[in-house]
Amino acid sequence: MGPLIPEILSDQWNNIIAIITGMAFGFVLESSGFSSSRKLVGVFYGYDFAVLRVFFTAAITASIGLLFMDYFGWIDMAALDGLPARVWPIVVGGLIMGLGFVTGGFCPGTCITAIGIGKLDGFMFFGGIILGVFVFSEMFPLFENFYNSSNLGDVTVPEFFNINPYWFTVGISIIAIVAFYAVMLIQKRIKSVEY
Amino acid sequence: MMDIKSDKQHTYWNPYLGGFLLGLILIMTFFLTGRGLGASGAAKAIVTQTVHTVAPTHAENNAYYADQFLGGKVPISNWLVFEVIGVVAGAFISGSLSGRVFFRVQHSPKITARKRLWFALLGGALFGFGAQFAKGCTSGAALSGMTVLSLGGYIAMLSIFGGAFLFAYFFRKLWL
Amino acid sequence: MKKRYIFLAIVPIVLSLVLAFLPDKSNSIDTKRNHKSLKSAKYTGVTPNNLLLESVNDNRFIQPDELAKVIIGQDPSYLLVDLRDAVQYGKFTLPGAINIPYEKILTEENQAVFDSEAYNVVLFSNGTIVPDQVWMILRRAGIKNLKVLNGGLNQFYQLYLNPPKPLETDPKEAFEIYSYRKAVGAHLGLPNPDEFIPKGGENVQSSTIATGVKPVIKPAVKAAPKVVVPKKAEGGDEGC
Repeated sequence: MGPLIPEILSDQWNNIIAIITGMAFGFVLESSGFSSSRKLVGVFYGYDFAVLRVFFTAAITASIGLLFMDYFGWIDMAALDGLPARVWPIVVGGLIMGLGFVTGGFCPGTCITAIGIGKLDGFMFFGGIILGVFVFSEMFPLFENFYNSSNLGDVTVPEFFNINPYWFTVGISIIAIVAFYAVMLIQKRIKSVEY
Repeated sequence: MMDIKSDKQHTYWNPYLGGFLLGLILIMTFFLTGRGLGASGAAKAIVTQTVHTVAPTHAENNAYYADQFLGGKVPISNWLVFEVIGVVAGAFISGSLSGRVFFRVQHSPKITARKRLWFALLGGALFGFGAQFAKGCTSGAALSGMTVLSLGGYIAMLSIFGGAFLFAYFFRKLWL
Repeated sequence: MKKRYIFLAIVPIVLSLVLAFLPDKSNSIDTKRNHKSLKSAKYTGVTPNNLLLESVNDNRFIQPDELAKVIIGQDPSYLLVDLRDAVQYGKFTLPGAINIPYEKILTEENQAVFDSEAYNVVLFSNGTIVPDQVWMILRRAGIKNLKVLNGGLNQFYQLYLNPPKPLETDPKEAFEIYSYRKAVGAHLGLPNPDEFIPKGGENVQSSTIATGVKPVIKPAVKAAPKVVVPKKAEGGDEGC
């Protein structure tokens, strides 16, 4: 069956599905408290590890779910959109984003959530994103070569390291569980912060 | 009544439950559309569409803008723009149910609201800038990328969180 | 609460272990990734820039003389692929060639031929248009060691059926090439219009032209041809 669009459902459904998916996404994020910037940065200061827990749990749930569906032939994982591994641009971009995260306290998805409940700092953060995108686009000729460099293609981690994807997922699950446990211990020992 | 309201305000879901539901949403999204979630792409679409409307020739001459019009695509009707509209709506619904919807600036008591707002702007600018290099943000590149075991997704996740941990110490006054 | 979390923590580990131990189904991601399936070649394979450079480079052609050397020497590292349909292949083909009609070049069994990279593959057809197209497609998918027979079968047989006679003023090499080509033609069983061999000439294996059976080529390069008028190679009327 694979991804239903574009073969089984027509392309026009795409935008409707986008809105509904977005609503579910926003609802879950907000209910988990991800509209609060102080909660989000808690993972970097040790007083609230919700980000780590939600992130990793979502990643392994979705990975295991998709792998099972792929196994039964309900979806074709090779046909899903991955992120082309342009190694150095991603590393540089990630570091800059990390800096933005601890200064602004949001990431784009969560700042939209914050906008949804009326947080003015969320509005400012989104304004900042627009600014950042604009500056980059205007400066693009400077970065163009770097932007397209070191492209390894749409390769998956198990492909790249030549290991079985299922064992890789076992490994990631174990790492996640260990991380959750470690984080629980850390959180007990750090002074809790009221926010 | 006031007590009950303030109790509900900061009672959030168990993060594992939230993560699990988010995982299900990701599975559904991939199954239906073949793509994952995202957010920064919507900002990119807004910028491109605005620049194109205001200064069309400039947009054509710039490779970054021009690329987004290839094949007759219209940036503003990007999947992500619709998704983001949905996120605002979903967050609003969830917030309303828990009495968390009202205009405010959330900041640490140790800094002023103004300072928070400026830093939010700065943080946003940095994030928007960095997201262009990586072609995604935490939801689009890292989370959705990791879901399909993509190498780029894992690298993105490690860089974003690594970078944040790296710089966290210097900005602790903003939060703690 | 502790117990519940321990139980929940075990669930993803157990589930992914189940995945790891499930038997290999043909449509599972594991075998799909191991297959050099072209779908995963979305961003791998040759980039357009390199492909352009290679396509204007004449190295991708193999000249008829080189190919003749390969055939006569029975070089095992070469794999000749006849891209025409089965009917034409049945009528005659180059010695030792396998038949993959070009419409079917991308099916999995036929792709398996190229997977091992052990062979130098020579693509040929009557002309060069089809082999060129197939070369583009396969090269884009990242398959290496591909060559196209320059001039196709048409030129090949022309060259050895009736090698151009060198002029008196041509250098010695031209004469050597001429006799070499005559010998190749003889070896392949093509009649030389210059010579008439009376009955009782040395036995030569009949050529593929007459019988459509791939012969075992004895390395008797100088054998004189039988006076069999073969059916003229049908390679003259390839469409574009």
